[in-house]
Amino acid sequence: MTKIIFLISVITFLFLCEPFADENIHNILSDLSSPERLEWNDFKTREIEKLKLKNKISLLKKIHFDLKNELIKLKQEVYFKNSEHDKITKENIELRKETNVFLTELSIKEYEIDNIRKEILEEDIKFGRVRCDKFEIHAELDNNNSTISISINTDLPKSTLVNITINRMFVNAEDNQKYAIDYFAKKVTVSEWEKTRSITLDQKKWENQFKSQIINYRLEGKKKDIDNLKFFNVTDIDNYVNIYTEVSMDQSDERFGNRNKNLVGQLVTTSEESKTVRNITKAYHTIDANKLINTQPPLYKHNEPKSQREAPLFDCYYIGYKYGRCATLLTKGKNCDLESDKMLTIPVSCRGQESTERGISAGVFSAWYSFPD
Amino acid sequence: MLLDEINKLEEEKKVIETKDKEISEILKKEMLLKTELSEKMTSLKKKQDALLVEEKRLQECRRGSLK
Repeated sequence: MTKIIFLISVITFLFLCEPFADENIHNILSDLSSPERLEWNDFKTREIEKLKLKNKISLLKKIHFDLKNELIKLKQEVYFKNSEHDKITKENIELRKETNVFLTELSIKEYEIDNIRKEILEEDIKFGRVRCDKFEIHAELDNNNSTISISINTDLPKSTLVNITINRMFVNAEDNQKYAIDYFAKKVTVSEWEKTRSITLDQKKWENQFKSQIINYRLEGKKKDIDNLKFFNVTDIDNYVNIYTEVSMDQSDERFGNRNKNLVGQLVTTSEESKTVRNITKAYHTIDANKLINTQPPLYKHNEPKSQREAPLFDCYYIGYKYGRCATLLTKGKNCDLESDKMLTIPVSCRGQESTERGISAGVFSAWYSFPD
Repeated sequence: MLLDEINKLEEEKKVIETKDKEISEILKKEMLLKTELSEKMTSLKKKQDALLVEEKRLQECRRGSLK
């Protein structure tokens, strides 16, 4: 019962209060749409707009300022480049002038030199001389050291005969002399070798020759009645090959005269009876040739058959070598141990032989190499 | 106003940039030419030295051959 009475009183209260609540909401709404309120809102919007504009203007001012600065820098740069261009253009004009003057001077000089050359040539023709002022050998080993490219650059006639020997040397500690073993030896003409020629260097063949040469020399060395050579004690093998070239004494071109007596020029070396031009060029090997020393054959023993010991005596190459070396040493004013030896004369059987010629060349080369001055 | 000014400056910048490119190209060419000319001059001087040596050698030859 009490509960029912409480519920009825609450409902009655709410019913009585309803008109007052409506009036409050109405009041609030009428305040928002009042003229003061609207004016305040307008003012706020305008202020925000103003601020936005101000920001925009300051940004534009900054862009303007930056642009102006950039332009100044660009103008300065262009100005600098322009002045640099002017300077270089002037320098180039001067250089061009200088080059032209130089070219003219050089042309005059070349003309003068040509005239001197002609004059000399006329003189040479008049007196029947053959001139040699240039005798250059270009030699280059390939990467494997198996081929050598050689060319001759000379002012000698194209028909000139030239002896070319490619060899490598070893030192004999017994007499402190160098001895050569050939890879190649031939008489060629200048015209054939003006263009680069490739020669195969047979290393195996050289090594075999080296070993047999040691045997031979040791055999010879034992025969004291032949020469003063004792044992061959190889201490060093050159790590380069020599390209020895020499204008042959026996020219087919008659202009050279007997034993090249008509040969003249700065490079010509003269001995009492003959004239020639020589050149030694080295081409370096990458193979360590000294390894070969360890592969020497056993020393010669006294009780070996006589026929073996005497065999080298009849080797025309060896006789030619001794002859060439001794003759060159004598022309150089040096002592030759073999002066009184019968080997200074070449036996009839060896005369005109290719091996004798090669031996003479190698001997001359050996002496020339030992005493270059 | 400011916008106009900025636009003008932008235009001017473009023109100057083009000019800068052009002058840079020309300058590069001139520099190359200078290098070429200097190299040519060096080689000519070498040639002159060689010619002088050759002339001396030939004169010595002539003196020798005319004796």
